[in-house]
Amino acid sequence: MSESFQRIISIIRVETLFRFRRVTAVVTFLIVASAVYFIVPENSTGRTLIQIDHGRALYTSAAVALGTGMFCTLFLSLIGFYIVSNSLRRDILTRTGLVLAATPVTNAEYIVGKFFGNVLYLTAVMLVCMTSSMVMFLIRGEANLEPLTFLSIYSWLVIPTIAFCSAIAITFEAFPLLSGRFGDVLFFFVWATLLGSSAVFLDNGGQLNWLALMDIVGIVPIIGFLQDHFHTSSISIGSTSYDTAISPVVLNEIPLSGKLLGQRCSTLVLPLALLFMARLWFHRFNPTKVKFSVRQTKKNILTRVNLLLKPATRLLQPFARIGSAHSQQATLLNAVRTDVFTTLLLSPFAIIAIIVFAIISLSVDISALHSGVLPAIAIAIVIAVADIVTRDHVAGMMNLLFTAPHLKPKYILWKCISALIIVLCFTLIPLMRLYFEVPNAALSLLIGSMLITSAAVGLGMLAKSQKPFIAIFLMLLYITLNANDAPVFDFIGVYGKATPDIHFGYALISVLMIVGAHLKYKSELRT
Amino acid sequence: MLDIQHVTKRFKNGVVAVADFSLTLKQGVLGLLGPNGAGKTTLMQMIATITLPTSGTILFHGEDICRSPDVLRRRLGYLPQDFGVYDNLTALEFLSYIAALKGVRNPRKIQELLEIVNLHTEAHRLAGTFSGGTKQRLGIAQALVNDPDIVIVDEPTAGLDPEERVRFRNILSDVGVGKLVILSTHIVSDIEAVATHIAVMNKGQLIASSSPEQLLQMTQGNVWEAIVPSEQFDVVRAQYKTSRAVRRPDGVHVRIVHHEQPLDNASHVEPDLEEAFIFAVNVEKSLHV
Repeated sequence: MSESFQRIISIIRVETLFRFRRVTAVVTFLIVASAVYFIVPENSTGRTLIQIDHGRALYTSAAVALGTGMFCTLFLSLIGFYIVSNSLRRDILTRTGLVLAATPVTNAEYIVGKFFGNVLYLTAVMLVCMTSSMVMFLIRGEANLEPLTFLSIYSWLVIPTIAFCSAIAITFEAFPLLSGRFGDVLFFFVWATLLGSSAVFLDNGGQLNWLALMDIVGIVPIIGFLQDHFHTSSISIGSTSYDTAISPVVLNEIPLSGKLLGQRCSTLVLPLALLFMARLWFHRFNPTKVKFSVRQTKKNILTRVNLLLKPATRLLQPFARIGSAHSQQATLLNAVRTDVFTTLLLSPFAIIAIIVFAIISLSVDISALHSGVLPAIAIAIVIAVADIVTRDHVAGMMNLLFTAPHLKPKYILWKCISALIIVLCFTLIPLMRLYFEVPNAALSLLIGSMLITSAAVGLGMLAKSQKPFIAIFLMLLYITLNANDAPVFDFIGVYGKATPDIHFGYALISVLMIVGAHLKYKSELRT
Repeated sequence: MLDIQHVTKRFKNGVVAVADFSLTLKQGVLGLLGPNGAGKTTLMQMIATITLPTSGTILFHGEDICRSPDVLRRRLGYLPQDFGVYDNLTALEFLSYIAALKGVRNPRKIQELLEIVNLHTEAHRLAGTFSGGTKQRLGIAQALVNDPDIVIVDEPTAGLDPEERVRFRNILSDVGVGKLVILSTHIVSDIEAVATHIAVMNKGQLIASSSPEQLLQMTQGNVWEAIVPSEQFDVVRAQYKTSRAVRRPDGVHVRIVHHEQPLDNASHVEPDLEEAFIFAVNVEKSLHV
């Protein structure tokens, strides 16, 4: 075995050991397994996995593998990035990167090792999804179980997605401008653009052109095949309703044609190009390019923007005087006040965003406020409050904070109130406008504000990382914007169609997340 | 073995961390002393091939390591400041990982090293559960795993308790035989017992380079001891560089580093290395031997 190969294997091995020993691995596997349960519904409920021309596809191995494989590829294409985009950061935070930089390991070996470490972990997630699908097939299947059919469909469908996700995660981490929270948010837009390009490609008739390279989730070959096979364009994949009066159609196999393989293999060009860029951009832990003392790199775009906007913090001075006469008292209220100001001082971007969105919210018409401004506000809030809990852990501030009165027993409450105030700074003006014009949407926005607050605190506390919060919220927002006929996703009043049940559901989720965060916090205090 | 020639490191913001630094090093333990911000870490990072100098060359056995870093990397052990480990790996797994990256294939070597740093009984414990001292011992083990010619350790005793510091120094002194060990610190006692050569840096420049004995000799006659009334102590401390002070019934016994007699009742005393360091940094501008 060559020395170079041995080094790559060692990097992959350590990545794998590290990831599989974390509780988050178990949580991820459980989430995927339980999601499969929901996307393969019992047919008697009037819902099905694949709907074709208003009827349903019989639960054969090919149909279930295709449906769940599609879910897996969509899940990994977005969430997979957030799951694996921490491997270079870990080497920075532990300063192990400095040790690695002083070894003979080459930049290419390091990047390739990290890439395959990511691939291996995401493949494990894929295997969990596939196994869960087979289990669901045993429960709800309507034909013989064919494990090789599952394996074949998952392989050609999901592995290119895994390769893309693993490569782009490394590329974003290797390039200081794209690392950190800015990169996390930017990736969401990259992902949405790629999905959009797949749709354009599909509209073009799925001809093999440059857009085929962008079809990372494999929508084009699947939908194309189903359209050709069943001679219809009315196709829906994922738990969806169907007409029970129509006889089910049968999908026994998906032939592995040259065109299909060509389309999927062509999407590997993008990961290869990304890996090449990662190799070029990799900083090799050079301290002139990477800052080791804090969690963010010096050249992170968000950090740069905040540095540029630092003078905006002067706008806070008049507000800082409010209640300052009593600020010497160590009350929880004063602690909240301090935390809110700290958050805004750390993120002048948020101050500007609050002002800009307030002006826009007052000047646009109500429909534009719904459909355009509220989603933009949600994205700005996600950026502003994503680290409200995690920053204390990363900076090693917890023990220091605990020496302040009230904070140790009421840490979660403290953080919740602080985060809610920040969120309300963004949503108060739209909330007031909606209250007078579309009260139902106003209620959605109010509950949505609570949901974002509790998620920032809850997920931050549970995962000790801001990535799950960013990933889940951006995905939810994407689904909301693309499912205008599904009021269940209208968590911030974009459509104003949410029913009282939906309001109650989101309020309940908010409460549960705060309770979960509190329980986790208490258990940490005990240990 | 290592020839540093006119090395300068200027950051993009204009700060010069290391300025025209030249030094030739052979086997032995080099104690690199300097106050915080003197440029020690930047110099060590350049020697460890982690960052490139803005100008100047660093030669290892005649080869320019800025052009061919792998020549040195194969023979280098590096323990950075504030060294951390992957919490979810055991000591053995972590050491095996670094060994593999350095091309070491002998598992017995890893076991030997664990014994040398007294970690063999904790080899299967997760590194996240280790104390600061134990982590540093793992750190020195990873630095030595490829039997390097050059070992660079940056502020290795920061945060360690006195017992761990002594233990760390002993390990370094034992394993450093036949190698060039560069030990950077601002704590003089760390290198007092082990250094065969001392280089003092201040504001990016090399201001002294000699053996410990020569450094002491150069400081001879510049260290004074005086008894100062308690109420005058603050004035004396503000006026002169004091190396230590002990309160006794007859007043404060204070040691002062100064090139001429600072107080009427001051008398010469034998300098120690800490005082030589203070003398080099604050009084004498150039002490090269």
